[in-house]
Amino acid sequence: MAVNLRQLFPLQQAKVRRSQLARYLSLDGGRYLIAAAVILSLMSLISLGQTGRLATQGYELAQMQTERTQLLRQRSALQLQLSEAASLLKIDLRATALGLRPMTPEQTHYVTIAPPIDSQDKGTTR
Amino acid sequence: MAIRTAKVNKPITIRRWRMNTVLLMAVLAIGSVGLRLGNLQIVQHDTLSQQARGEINQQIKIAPRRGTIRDRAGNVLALDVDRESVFVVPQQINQQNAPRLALMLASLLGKPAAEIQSALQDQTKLWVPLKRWLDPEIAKQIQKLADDEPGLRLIYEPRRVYPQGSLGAQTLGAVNFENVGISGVEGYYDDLLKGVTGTITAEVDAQQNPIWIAPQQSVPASNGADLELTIDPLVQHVIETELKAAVEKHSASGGTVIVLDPRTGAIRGMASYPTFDPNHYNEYPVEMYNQNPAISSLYEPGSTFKIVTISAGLQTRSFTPDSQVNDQGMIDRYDTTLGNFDQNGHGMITPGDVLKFSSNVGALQFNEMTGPAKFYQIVREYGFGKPTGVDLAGEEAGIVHDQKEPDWSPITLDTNAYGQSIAVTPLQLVRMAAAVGNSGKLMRPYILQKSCHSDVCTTIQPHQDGQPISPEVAATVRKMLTVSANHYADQDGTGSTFMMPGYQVAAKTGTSSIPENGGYSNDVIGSVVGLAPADVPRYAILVKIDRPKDDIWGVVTALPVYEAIIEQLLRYERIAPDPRLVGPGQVAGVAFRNGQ
Repeated sequence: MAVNLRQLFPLQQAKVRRSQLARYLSLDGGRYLIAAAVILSLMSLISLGQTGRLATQGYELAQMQTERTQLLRQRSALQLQLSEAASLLKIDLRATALGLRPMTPEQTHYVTIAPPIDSQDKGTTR
Repeated sequence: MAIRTAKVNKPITIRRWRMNTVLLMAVLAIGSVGLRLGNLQIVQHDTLSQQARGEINQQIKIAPRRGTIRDRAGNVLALDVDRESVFVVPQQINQQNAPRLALMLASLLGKPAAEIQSALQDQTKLWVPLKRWLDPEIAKQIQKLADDEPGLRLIYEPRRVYPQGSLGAQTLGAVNFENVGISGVEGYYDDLLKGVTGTITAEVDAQQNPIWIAPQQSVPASNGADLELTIDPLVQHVIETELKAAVEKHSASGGTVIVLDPRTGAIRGMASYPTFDPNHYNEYPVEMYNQNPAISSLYEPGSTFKIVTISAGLQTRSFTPDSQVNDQGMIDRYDTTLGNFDQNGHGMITPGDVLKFSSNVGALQFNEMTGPAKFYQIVREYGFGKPTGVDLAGEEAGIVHDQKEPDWSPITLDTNAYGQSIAVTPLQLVRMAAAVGNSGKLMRPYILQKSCHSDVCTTIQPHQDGQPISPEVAATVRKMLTVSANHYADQDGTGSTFMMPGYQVAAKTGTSSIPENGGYSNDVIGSVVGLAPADVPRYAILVKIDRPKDDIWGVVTALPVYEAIIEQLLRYERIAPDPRLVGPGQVAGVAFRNGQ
């Protein structure tokens, strides 16, 4: 009685086909479908990964922009405080509160400084 | 052996009409879906896709920052600060809590509780503003309330803030609630300061934040330029303090002080009183924040204009410094009697004496020697009758009627000689004095010395508008004005005292009549214009006090202000006094106090 091994041992056949590269690469219809699905999956995975990464970076960027806006607000608020503190009117008030008073002209003493000797020799004046 | 018997199923029979009905229904259903799909995808494609793009793709405006304004020392005079404003969405307010919330907000916002409660309960409105630009501390407390009340919203809005308060307010100007400059530097340089709005065209989420994974088009905002003014903070502080004190002491209606650098035309200080706080400009009358009297208020300059009369005659060689005319105190011209302020004569006087004694009769006779053609030519060359070109909003041209105009009469030449029948702005007058102090070169006054945009800075160069008088004439007039200045301090008539001991300063006073109802009012404007120091002037100064109540000439009010200002400015400049210029009983650096 003849036995059809081809039906019973497809693995063996596959091994044979694998050993023959030309035949191995010539896929049948089902394998084409699987290959296409795998390629599509990989492409989707890459696309999904990139989109996710982009979304994460976009979120980080938005966070950084919010932080930047807050820092700029802080900066302008500090600049305002500084300007208010530098106001001559407020300095005047603070100085008066500390017991300081404006200098009177009589308190001003101008000191005449003679020019250096070498420049005197050259007849230059300052 | 078991025998398997197959069960024979009876064939299912469906009647054809039923199948046709189902098929027909399916065809109809699919057909209607197809039709609807076709309608949406093809017929309404453009409309719907545009609608969808409108909802998702939005153009978000990026507001530019308005430029900062600083003085020449780098102190900030105006800047943009983000402040929180509070709004309510009445439909999201828990109405049971509304009265309680209104009470709490009333104490924080300083508004009546009833007004706030009606805003909270106004269901006809989606969005009701309660108060803009809150103080940071108040905003923090309201934020705590907003955490429990979703209908209470706080959003940031840019606010123009003037940290120095009213310092230089009329020069700086103000911006309105739409952040548009309406006067002063803010108005004149509004285009430069406001910047250009940017846009982001992108897909947005529910909070209007751009979705970064979608492609977007971005045009960045261009911030406004930062401006640096020629204003010196100390000069401005000194003139504002002295002006305010004088106006209040003499119950005057107002006043103006301008300090120019004669060498460049840079405005070192410009103050008028009464003034306003640009942080709350809307609480003042319109004319207060919309006008700068230093450039827009016209007045008859009075005797200060004799500087023009004398310099015009000397420049055109119509007379010399030694020429003389007879001042008898009064003189008849064209059926009208013209006279000195006190009707007293001074005999034969020179041009220098005209300035020293402020002789109207002498001035008009010298002006007749000059003649209208030459006089008005020099008047025009000094820039009277047209705007100086200063970079400030709202400048007036002044009024000069010359011999070419049909309504001019010869007596106008005589009255113009002592500053009547002519109208000038304070800036025009101090600019004339600055030209005398700058060897006759007439500089264009300017307030902006540097503008920086995106780290690229442009420095403004001084601009000479002309040379009405020669350096020699300018030097001669300065000497005459020095004698005039010291004359005010010469109490014993010996000529050995100085207005500003240790220095030579130039000054000329003026009393201006105020035209009213075709005649002149009983009130006057007292003014002093001068240079300090006179030999190498650092400052050209004008002090003008309007309608002092206790001074019929106005000069007794204006002169002490002038002296107090130059005393402080010369010390500020650290110019050592000359001991040879100190009179008996005087102290170097201490101004003679007229009227005190």
